[in-house]
Amino acid sequence: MVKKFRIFFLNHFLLFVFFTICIIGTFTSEYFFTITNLQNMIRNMAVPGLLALGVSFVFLVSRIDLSVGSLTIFGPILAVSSLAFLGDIFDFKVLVRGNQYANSALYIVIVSLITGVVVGLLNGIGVMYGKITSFIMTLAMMKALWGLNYVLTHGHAFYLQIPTFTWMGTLNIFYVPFSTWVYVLLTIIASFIMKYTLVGKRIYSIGGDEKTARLAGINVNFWIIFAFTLSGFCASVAGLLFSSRLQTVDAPLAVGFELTAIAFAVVGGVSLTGGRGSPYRAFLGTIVMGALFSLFSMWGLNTWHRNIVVGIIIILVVMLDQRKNRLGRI
Amino acid sequence: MNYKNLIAFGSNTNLLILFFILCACAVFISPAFLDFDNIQNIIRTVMVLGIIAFGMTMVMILGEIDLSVGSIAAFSCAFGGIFVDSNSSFLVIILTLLAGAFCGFINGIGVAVVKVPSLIMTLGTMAIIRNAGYIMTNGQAAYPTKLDYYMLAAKGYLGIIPIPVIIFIILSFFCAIIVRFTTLGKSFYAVGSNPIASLLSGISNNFAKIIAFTVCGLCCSIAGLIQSARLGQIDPHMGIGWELTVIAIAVLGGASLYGGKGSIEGTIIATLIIGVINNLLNLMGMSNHSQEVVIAIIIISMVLLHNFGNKKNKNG
Amino acid sequence: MKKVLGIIFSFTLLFSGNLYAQDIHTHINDLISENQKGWKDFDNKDLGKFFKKDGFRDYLDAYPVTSLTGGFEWKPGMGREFTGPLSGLPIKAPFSDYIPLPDGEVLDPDKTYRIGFVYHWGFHPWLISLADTAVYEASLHPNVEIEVLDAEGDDNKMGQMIDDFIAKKMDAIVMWPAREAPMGPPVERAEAAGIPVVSLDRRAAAPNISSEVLGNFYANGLQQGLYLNHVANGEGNIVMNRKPLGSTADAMRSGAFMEAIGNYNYVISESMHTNSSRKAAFEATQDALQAHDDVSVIFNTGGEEALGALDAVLEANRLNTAPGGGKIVILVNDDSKETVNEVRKGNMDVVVPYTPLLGGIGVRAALLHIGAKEGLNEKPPKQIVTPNLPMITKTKMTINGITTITPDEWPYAYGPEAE
Repeated sequence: MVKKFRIFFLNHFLLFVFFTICIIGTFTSEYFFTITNLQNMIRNMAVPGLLALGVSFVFLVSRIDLSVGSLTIFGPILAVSSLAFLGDIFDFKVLVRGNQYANSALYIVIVSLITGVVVGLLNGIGVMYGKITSFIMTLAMMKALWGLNYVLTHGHAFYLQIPTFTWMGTLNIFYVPFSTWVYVLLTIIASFIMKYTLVGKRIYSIGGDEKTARLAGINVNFWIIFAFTLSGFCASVAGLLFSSRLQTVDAPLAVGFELTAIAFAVVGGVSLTGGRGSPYRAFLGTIVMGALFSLFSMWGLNTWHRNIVVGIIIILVVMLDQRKNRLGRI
Repeated sequence: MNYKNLIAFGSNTNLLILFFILCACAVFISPAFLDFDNIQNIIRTVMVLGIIAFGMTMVMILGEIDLSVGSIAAFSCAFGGIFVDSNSSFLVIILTLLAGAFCGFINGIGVAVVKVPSLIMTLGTMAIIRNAGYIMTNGQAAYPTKLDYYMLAAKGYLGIIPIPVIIFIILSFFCAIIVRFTTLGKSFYAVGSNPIASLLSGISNNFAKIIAFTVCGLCCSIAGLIQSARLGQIDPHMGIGWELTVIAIAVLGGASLYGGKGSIEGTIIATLIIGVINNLLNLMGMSNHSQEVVIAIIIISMVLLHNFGNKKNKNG
Repeated sequence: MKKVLGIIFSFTLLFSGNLYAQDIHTHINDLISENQKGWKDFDNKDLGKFFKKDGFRDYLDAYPVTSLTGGFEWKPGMGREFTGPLSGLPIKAPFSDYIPLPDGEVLDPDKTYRIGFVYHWGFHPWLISLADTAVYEASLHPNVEIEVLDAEGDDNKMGQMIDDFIAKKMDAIVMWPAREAPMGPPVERAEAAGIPVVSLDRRAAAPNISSEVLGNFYANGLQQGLYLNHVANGEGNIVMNRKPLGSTADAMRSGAFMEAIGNYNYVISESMHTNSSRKAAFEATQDALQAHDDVSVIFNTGGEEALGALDAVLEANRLNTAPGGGKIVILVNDDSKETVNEVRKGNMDVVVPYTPLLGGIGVRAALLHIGAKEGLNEKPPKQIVTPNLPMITKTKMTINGITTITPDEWPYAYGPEAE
C-alpha cells in the first residue's frame, strides 16, 4: 500500500508541488485564496500553457521550436492587416478611426489558425526536407515573423473592438475563465491523441529512436512535420486568447514567450532529447510555474528576485528529474 | 588523429567565396561600402559579437550550447563597474574578466559535473546571472569615462588599427591555435562527436567542457568591455538577444548543434559575413524590422546552400 | 557704470523669474496653438506627407493643452531637494508644491493606504527618477505603503501586475504605460473594481481612468523645432532618432516638431526608431552618417538616444561636417545631468527639459482620489497638466518670446553626475 503511494507520489510529484505552493500561498497571503486571484492564476496559465503544449510535441520528436513566441501574435496581426488591405481594395471599412478594428471575429479566428498551421508546416519542411537544424530553422522563422509583425502593422497597435473578442477575454464559465477552459480542453484532447491513437504511437517511436523508426518503415518526415504543425496550431490558439485578453494586436508583444514555453515544458518533465514526456507533463509544468508566479505576485517579490528564483527552479527541477531517471522508477 | 578538422576547412572555402561575392554585391549596390570609415564601422560593430562567437564555437564543438552569453557580458561588466570610483582601469578590467570566467566556470560545472543539459543550465543561468547583475547595481548604469585604459579598449588605436580589431585578431589566433593544434582542442571534437570513445582518451570529458565554458565566459566579458567602452556606459541591460545571433554566426561558420563540427576560422568568416549583410542593409536604408526578415531568409538560404552544396546527408 | 548695469541686470533677473513663470506656461501654449496645422497646411509638401503617413494628428489632437490645475504658478527654483530612495541620487523635484498634500498622515489616520506602482525598465535613468519621486512622496506619509513593480517592457506582464493589484485590493494604482493600446483593458478593469488609477507621463487607452499626469511632450517637440528655425535659416537635412512607434512620447514630440518646421525647406534624411536605447541610437546614427554625408541636424526624442547619437557623431569625427562647414545641430529633450552637461560643453545645441520628477504628483493625485471616494476631499481633475518648461541652451537666447535657460541655472537635471 505504501509502495503504491510512493510510486504514485513520484510519478505525480509535480502535482504535489503545485498543491504545496497553493497551501503556502493561502497561509502567507490573505489575498491568494480569493476568487479574483485564483482566476488570475489559472487565466495567466492558459497562454504559456498552450505554447508549452505545442512545444512539447516538437520536443517529443527531438526537435526544438523557437518560433512560437512571434507566431503567437503573427496570426492576429496577419488577419487584421490583410483584412484592412482587402478593405482598401474592395472598399469596405475595416479600420475605424485609424486603428480600431471593428469587423469580423470569425475572419481573425480562421486566418490565425490557418497561419499557425502553415507556419508550422514551413518549419517542418525546412527541417526535414531542407535538412536545416530545427534550432536554426525556427530561429530564422522567429526573426522573420518578428520583423513581419512590425512591417505589417507599421508599428501601430490595432484595437480590437469586437464584442466576440471582449467576450472571449472576460467570460467566466462556472467562475473559470474562458481561456483556461480552452487550454484544459486542448490538453485533454492532446493527451487522448497521444495515448490512444496512431499519432501518439508514431511520435513516441520516432522520439525513442529515430533511426530504428525509419528502418521500420515509419514515415518519419511526415510525423515530424506533423509535430511542428501541431506546435504552430497551439501557438495560434494561444495568440487568439492573448489578443482577446489585451484587446490589442501589436507588434512588440509576446517577447520571450518561447523561452517561457520551453521552461514550462521542461519543468514538467518533457525531455529535450525526445521520447519522454506527454501533454500531461507539459500541463504539470505549467500549473507549477503558474502557481509559483502567482505566489510571488502575492508576496510582492521584486521582479529581479523573482527571475532569479525562476532560473534556479528550472535548473533544480531538471537536476532532480535527471536523478530520478538515473535511479529508475522505484 | 581527427580528420574532421579538415572537412571543416573544406566548407570554409565555400564560406570565403560567399563572403567575397557578398562584398562584390555590396560595392555594386552602394559605393559607400568601401569607405574606410564604413569598413571600420562594420568591424567595430561586429567585433563584439564575433568575440563571443569564438567561445560559443568551442562550446558547440563539444556538443553543448550557451544561452547565457549576453547575461555574462552584462553581469561581468556590471561587477567591474562597481569599482569605477577606484579610478584604476586595471582593477576594473581584471575584475570584469574574472567575473566572466567565473560565470562560465559555473556553467561548466553545472553541465559537466552535475550533468544538467546545457540548454537548461544556461537557460537558468541566463536569468540568474542577469538579474543578479541588476540587484547588484540596483539597475543603474556605471560610467567608466574617467578610466583611460578602459576606454582605450574601444577608442584607442595601435597605429591606424583600432584596438578592438587588435583584440579580435589576437583572440582569434589564440582560439584557433588551441582548437586546431592542441590536444585539448582536438579533444573538443572528440567529445562532441563521440563522447563514449573519447572517455578512453587522455583528456576527460568534464575537463574539456569546463574549460570551454570558462573560456566562453571570458570571451563574453571581453566583448562586454569593448561594448561598454564604446558607449561610455556600463549598462546592466546590455546583451539581451545576443545569444541567438551568436549561435547563428557559429552555425553559419560550420558549427553544428550536435557537436563535433565547427572551426574558429569558419566563425571568423561568418562574423564578417553577418557584419557585411547588416551594414549593407543599413546603407540601403532598410528599416530594422525589414532587415530581420531579410537576414532570416539569408540565414536559411546559406544553410540550405551549405547542406546541398556539400551533398551531406544530415537529418535536420 | 558697470555697477549700475549689474544692479539693473540682477533686478531684472530677480523679477523676470516671476514674469517668466506665469507667462512661460501660457506663452508656450499659445505658441503651440499658433503652430498647429493639418498635413495639407504644410508649405513643405514632403514634410506634409510624412506628417500624414505617421498619423501624428490623432495623437496631437487628443492631447490637452490647458492651464495648470488650481491656478498654480511655477517659478524656476521651486521644489524640494532629497535623496532618491531607489537610486540614491540627489534630486531636486520642481513640482513638489503642485497639487499639494501636507506631510504626515493623510486622509483617515487610522487606515493604511496601499498604492501599487507599476512601470518598466527601472535601470533607465529617467524611469528610476520617476519611481524615486513616487516612492519619496509615499514615504512622507506614515500611513501610506507603496509597492513598486517593474514589468520589464512586457505589456502583458504589466496587465497581469495590474490584475494582481486588483486581487490584492490595493487602494490605488499609479502606473507608467509604455504604450497606450494594451493598457486599456487592465486599467478599465481596475476602475470597474473601484480602484482609482493614475497614469504618469504616457497615456493609457482607458476612457475611465481617474487621472492622467501629463508631461509637456508638445512643448518639447515644439521648442526643438522653434530653436532649429532660429539657428538654421529654414534649411537642413534632418536625421531623426525616435522612440517606439505607437507611443505617446514619439508621436507627440515628432509631431510637434514637424508642425514647427513644416513651412520651411528642411529635408528628412532618415527617420529611425531607436527605442530609448543608447546603443541602438549609436548604431543607427552611425549608419545614417555613413549613408548621408550632408547631415546637418539630428533630432532626438530622448536623452539616451541623443547621447548614443552624439557618441556616433564624435567617433566618426563628424561634429562639424554640416554642409558649409558648420556644426551639426543636435536637438535633444530629457534634461539628464549628462545631456545638460553636453550643452555646457557645446556638443549638444539645445535640451528641452522633460522631467521625470512627476511621480510625486501622481501619488498625491491617487491619494486625493481615494480621499474623494471616502468623502474627505474633492476629486483632482482628470487631466493634470504639468508646467511647460523652457529650453536650455549654452548661452541665453530669446526664441519666439521664450527666454532660454543656461545649464548653470537649471537645478532640476536628473540622473547620475556627468564629468
